[in-house]
Amino acid sequence: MSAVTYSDTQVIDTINARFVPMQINTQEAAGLPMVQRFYQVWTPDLRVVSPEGVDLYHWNGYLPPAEFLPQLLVAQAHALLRLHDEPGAAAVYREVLERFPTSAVAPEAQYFFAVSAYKHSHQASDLLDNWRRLQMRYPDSLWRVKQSFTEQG
Amino acid sequence: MTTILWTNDWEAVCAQAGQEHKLVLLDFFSPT
Repeated sequence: MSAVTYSDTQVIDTINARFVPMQINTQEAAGLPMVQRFYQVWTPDLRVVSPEGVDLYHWNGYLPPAEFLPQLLVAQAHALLRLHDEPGAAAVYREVLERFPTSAVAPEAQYFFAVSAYKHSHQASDLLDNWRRLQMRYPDSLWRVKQSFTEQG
Repeated sequence: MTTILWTNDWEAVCAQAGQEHKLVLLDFFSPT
């Protein structure tokens, strides 16, 4: 991660601007309390955590910058959604869809853009219209399947 | 900036995140 992804200028700027970043070396004794606290088992392991220490989203595995950045933004958006900042979450999901429309996490961003818009407005059209965009833009994705009950009849 | 501003002080990280209304990004890594 450090040789490629964490050396990328966009990755550096995004992390520094949007997060307070902390690294834990899982091979050192000093890292053991955090490893135990977060039930950490495999690296790379990235967590988006509230200032109160609540794990709001996490993922495992190396990603190159082109996939790491949209994954990082989706993680931020999921965290904001869990904190009930629906407009903030929707803005970040939209950013993923505009900047990284072909990334692996883009269908997930489209799915949850619809969710965050609906939870803010309580208008069914915000959910269903944006899920229809998911059906059109990402027809082969698992996230299309997860809303496919809306396509019946 | 040319590097990520990593720290390893959990209490300081949480305090800073609260003050700046930011989220914490934790990176558990293994150097080997």
